[in-house]
Parts: sequence; C-alpha cells; structure tokens
Amino acid sequence: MNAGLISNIMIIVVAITAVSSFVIPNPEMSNVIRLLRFPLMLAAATFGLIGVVLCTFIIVMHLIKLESFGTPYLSPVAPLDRKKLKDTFIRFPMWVLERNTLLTSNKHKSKKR
Amino acid sequence: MNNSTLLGKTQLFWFFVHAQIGVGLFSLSNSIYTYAKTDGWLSLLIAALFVQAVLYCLYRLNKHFPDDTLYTIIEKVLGKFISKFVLVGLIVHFIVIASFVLKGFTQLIAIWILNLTPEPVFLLLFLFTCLTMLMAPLTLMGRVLVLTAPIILLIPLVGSYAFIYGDYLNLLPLGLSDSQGILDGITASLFAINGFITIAIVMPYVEGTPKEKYKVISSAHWSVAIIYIIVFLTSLLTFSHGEMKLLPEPYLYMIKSFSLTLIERLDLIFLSIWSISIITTYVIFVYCGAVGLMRIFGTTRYRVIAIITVILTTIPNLTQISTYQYEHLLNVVNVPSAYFTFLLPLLLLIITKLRRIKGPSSLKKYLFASQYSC
Repeated sequence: MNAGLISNIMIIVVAITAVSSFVIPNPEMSNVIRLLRFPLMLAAATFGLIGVVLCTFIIVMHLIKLESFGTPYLSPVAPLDRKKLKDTFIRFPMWVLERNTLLTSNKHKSKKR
Repeated sequence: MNNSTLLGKTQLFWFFVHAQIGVGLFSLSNSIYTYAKTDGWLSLLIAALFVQAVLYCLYRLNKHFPDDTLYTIIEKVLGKFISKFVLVGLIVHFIVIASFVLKGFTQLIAIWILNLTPEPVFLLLFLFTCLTMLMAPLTLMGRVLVLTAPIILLIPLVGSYAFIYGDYLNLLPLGLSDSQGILDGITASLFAINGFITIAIVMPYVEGTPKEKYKVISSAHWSVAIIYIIVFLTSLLTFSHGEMKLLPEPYLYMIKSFSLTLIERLDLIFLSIWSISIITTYVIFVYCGAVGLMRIFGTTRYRVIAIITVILTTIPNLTQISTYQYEHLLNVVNVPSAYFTFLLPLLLLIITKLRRIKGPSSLKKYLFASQYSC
C-alpha cells in the first residue's frame, strides 16, 4: 500500500501504455513499437522530455527516408498532398466514396455505387 | 546544372519559414526592446520591408539565371578571382550563424531545462539528431520541413492567449524612441531574420516559374514577419517596462505564467518541442555552408563535407562563454553579416545589369518551365 516504490503518475502512465497497446491490430507492428520503446526509454531517462522529442524526431526521420515500391512510406503526409489526404485520417464508408482512394488510384473515376 | 526539381512550392514556403524562425525568436523581443522601446514593431516592419527588397533582388537574379544557385551566380558575375573571396565570406557567414544557433540552443537548454547536465552531452544528442536529417537529400529535407510545420504555428497560437488577458496600456507610449533607436532595433532584430539568403541556394531546385517562386517566398516572408510582430506584441502586453528590461526571453517567461489544468509548466514542454524547429534552422544553414564548401573544393562528396561543416560549427561551442558574452558577440557579428546579406544580392544584380551578362537562352527556358509547372 505505502511502499513508495512508484509514484501515482507512474501508474497512470503504465495504464495508458497498456491500454493503448491494444489499439495496434497487427502483432508485428506491436513488436516494432515494443522494440522502439527501449531507445525512447533510454533517452527519456537521460535527457527527459527533450530526449524523447529528439529521439522521436530521429524515428520520424527514418520513416521519411523509407520507401516501399517507389512510394514514400508516409505518402500522403510527408510529401504533403492535400487531395490524397482526404481518405487517410478519416475514411468514409464505401457507399459514400465516389472516387478511388490513394492505394487503388486509377486515372478513371470509379462507378457510383 | 540540370533542371531537376527537388522541392515543391509548399516545401519552399516552409523552407523559408524554418530558415527564418529559429533560436533568435525568444531573445528577439528583449533585444529589440532595449533599443526601440515600444516602437519595436515599427522596426520589425521596416526590417521586413528591407528583406522584401532583397527578396526582389534575388527574384530578379533567379529570373536571369534560372538554373544557378547563389554560389554559381557569384562565380558567373564576379569573375574567378573576386568570387573566391565572396564565396569564402558567404560560407563563413553560414557557418558562423549555424554555430550561433547551436550555442543559443545549448544555452537555452542549459538555462531552462537541463541545468546540471554538462553542455557537450546534450550537444552530442542534438548533433546526432541533426546528422540524421542532414544526411538526407534535399527532397527528404523538404518533406521534413513540411511535416514539422505545425510546430511553427504553435507560437502564434500559444502566444495569442496573451491578447485576452494582456494589459493594452503597455503598448501605449508610441513614438517614444527617435529614428536612431528604431534603426538600432532593426540591427538588433537581424539575427532573427538573416535566414532569407539561404533561399537563393535552393531556388533553382524548386518547381515553377521564377514569378511563382517569388510569390511563395514573399508570402512566407510576410507570415514570418507577422509571427515576429505577434511575439513582440504579446511580450509587450504581458510585461511592463521594468520587467521587459530584465527578462532575456520574454516569450518563454510569458508562457511560463500560463498554467493549464493538465499541464503545469507549459514553457518546458514548449521548449522541448521547439528544439525540432532549432534543428531545422541549424540543418538549413549547415546544408548551405556544405554546398558552398563542395563548390570551393570541387568535390561531390556531400556527406564528408557535411560532417566537416558540422565539426566546424561545433568547435566554437566547446568554449565556455556566458550569455552576456554571447549577446555581445552576436552584436559584433550581426552588423557585418547584415551588410553582407543585404548588399550582396543588390550588388550582384547591379553588376549583372551593368556588365550585361547573359543567362541561358531565356525564352525557351521559360516556356519549358511554365509547361513543367502545369
């Protein structure tokens, strides 16, 4: 009860991380997050928040450098494309979509419905 | 020089904004206030007009030499012998500004966040982060600059809270300082606005006609000017005359006074996030210096030269100087670098017109460029 091993905020942080780890559907992706957690933890322990920010910047920089099949990994965001940004963050249901999304983009308009 | 386009127009916009807004932002209000008092916004506006004139010169130069960076323009206009000196001067300017940015960052962090950590330790972390960005080609740099753009927008957003509770009477004694004071205010603001010359180095790699680029750059420049004026005015609104004289970074002190229910010390979190913006400023200056060094040594080995440039900027940072000495040094460097960056494009343009140096066959190029942008 009162051992004083960890603070209140630590419990909140651990709870939030535990709950938010269920958001990631793919086990491989959650493994990546688990591995990336260690350098971030190291940076946080040594430099505090500024270490976390700089370490996150390094990771983002790496993600920006990645390319898969010629398409940048962070495609609609990192080379910013406002038109393609439409269906990335909030995707409407299929019956609302009149045109194709980014991944299935053809030159032609797809049929309605 | 090939005509390959590496940057888009949005990327050019944010390139300019990131080059301008860096570590100088926090000390800006105080350094202007010491000279121009409450008329500081006027000297900021006048400085912005000067910069606009220089940008026009750069636009005319770019129109005349659409495929050339500033370095090759200098070589073409000034001849082989003189151009070497100017090139070295320009590179020294970039390196000196970059090392000042680095020193300003380490001092800011040492004062505000990591009091007890020795400076070289987090300098290493910072430089390592910079190297990951610096080693990327220009296209990727442009993507990072757009991605980190919201951080710039944080300043006016957070600062505008001061417009709600601030004391508007603090603005009032208008016309207090004479013209000399306002001019001194302009020179004091120079460290914050001397990033504009970097734009001339990436200009040929941007898509679009010279006129479109000029429009983008002008809009970027005026948004930077508006952000600076907002920062200055919010600091004035929050602090009285006596406080403004004492505070070295009024903007940070102002944020420190905001306490939200969830976040207690907004300034520490803001400063941590803000370090990314300082990274981008530093990287842009080092990139420009490295491109110049490559030009002088005649190599194409960008990575080696970039690391050498980083080391060159780091060496002055290992000496221990106090904040007062830093400000003094800044004032010493500001004036010659200002003459350099303001007069160089003007002189280049005048000499080009007088000597009637021909650019590449102009008409066809423009047709090609306009086709390409569509």
